[in-house]
Amino acid sequence: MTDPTLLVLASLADGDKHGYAMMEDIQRFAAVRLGPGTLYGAITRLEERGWIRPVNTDDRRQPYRITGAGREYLGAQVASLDRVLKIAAKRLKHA
Amino acid sequence: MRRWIGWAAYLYPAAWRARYGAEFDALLDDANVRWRDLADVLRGALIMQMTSWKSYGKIAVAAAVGCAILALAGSFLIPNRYESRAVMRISPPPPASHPTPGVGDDDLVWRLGQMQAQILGRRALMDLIMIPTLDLYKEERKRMTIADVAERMRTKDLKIRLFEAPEARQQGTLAFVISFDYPDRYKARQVLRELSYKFMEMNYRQTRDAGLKGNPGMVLLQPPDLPESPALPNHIAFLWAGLGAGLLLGLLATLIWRRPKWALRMAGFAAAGCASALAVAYFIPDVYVSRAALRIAGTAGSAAIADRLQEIQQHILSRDNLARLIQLPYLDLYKKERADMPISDVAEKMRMKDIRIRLYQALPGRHALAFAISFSYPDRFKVQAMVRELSGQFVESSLGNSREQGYTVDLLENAYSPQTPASPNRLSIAILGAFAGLLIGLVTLRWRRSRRAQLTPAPAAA
Repeated sequence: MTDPTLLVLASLADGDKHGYAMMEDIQRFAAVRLGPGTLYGAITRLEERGWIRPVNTDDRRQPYRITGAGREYLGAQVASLDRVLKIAAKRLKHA
Repeated sequence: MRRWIGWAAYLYPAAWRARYGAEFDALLDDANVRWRDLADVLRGALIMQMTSWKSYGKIAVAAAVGCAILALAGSFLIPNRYESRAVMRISPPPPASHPTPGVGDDDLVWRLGQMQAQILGRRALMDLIMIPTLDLYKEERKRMTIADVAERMRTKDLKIRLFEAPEARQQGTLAFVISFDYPDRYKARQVLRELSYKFMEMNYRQTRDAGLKGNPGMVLLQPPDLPESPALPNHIAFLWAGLGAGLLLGLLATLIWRRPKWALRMAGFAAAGCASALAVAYFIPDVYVSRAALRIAGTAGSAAIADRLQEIQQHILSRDNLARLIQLPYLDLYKKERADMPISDVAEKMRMKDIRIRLYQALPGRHALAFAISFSYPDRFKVQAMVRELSGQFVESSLGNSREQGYTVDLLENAYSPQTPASPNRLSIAILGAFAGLLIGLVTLRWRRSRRAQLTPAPAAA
């Protein structure tokens, strides 16, 4: 899975994070390094859709939080992927 | 590297930088950025630039500027054309010098028209083109017949503009500017020299033949000039056209970028409309039109001349005469129609639908009328032959007459064989089809959208 929006949502699902923290986290759990342009492209789109929102801070590093709509979307995507993965695994067993 | 990426970040839209700039900088400071991150940031900036409406405007403007520059550069590749000009003046004769009523009147426009018809007639221009020292339109003559080249020269490259001579002592004096544009400026001037001498010579002959005393003169006010700078191509016009085309292209591109599926569907509808229209147009037979220009002149006023023309016309376009022409072995027109209906009905249909006589507006006090006779038919050689027959009959009707004894009919321009059909205009049909397709597409997509909205169940209340 390399869709940056899903990766960002998945990263924020366990707590607020700023850009660099997201980058590190995604590299850790998905072994994908998102470049700064790609990461902020995804953040911009997610914020526009209302799936994440900035958290108040005085720091230059701006943390983000996943919204209810974002969780719902992530849940739907995960369920869909899960279905595909289960079917694929089942078929592999029978092959 | 950090510095390069920092500069690349300036390529993001200003609104984006105002919102995310500080935190993006913080990320660049924290992350161990590499060369490939520069490409990533550049790509991100490009995408951001392309996904805001403000940026669409910028893209359209950039496309307009780009196309304008290309059009301007392209205009410099077009060969230059130089326009040479000469100004001539023609004065009416003194009132006492009219030996015959209606001949030596102040009808300068008519006389000038008569001179033009002869000097700028197709035959005269063909001779001019072939003068060895001029040898005009070499390339065009390889592709087209000499008659077509002469026709193009007359309609596109030669211009005559008539106006009241402002500083003439005699009332009614007219001046006219004659201009010719050609890629070789020396030849442009030489052509105008030839033409202006011909005008002078013909004026002398006309006044001598009419027995006019004195000199109802034609004066060369400004001899043909040698143009210094080219008149064409008009670089400014190219620049504006490029700007307009670029703006349209830019807006179209942004629309496709913003709503690719919608744009693709609309393009499909337009293409289908265009293809259907072309398929329909394919079954419409080509129709060619040939035309001849004639002049009827007499000593009576224009109303009486028009009545005389009406009489001749009634005779020539009578059912019997047309039926005879239709059945001439070398014409043999309307074969299918003749199998289905009597020949007199075919002749009537031909007169009502395919033959046109257009009368040019006569000026008050003039003693001549110009008119054009045209015929449309699916065979380009037969249209020419038919118009030649008809115009020949008009001329024959006045044989033995003279202007003073009634009227004369002269052939100003003989019928030609058209190269291209006058109808159907397949390009217009294709464009219309494309527009119709777009319209149908708009309605269909809108209808499908509203239908989908009706079918989608409303979300359940929480």
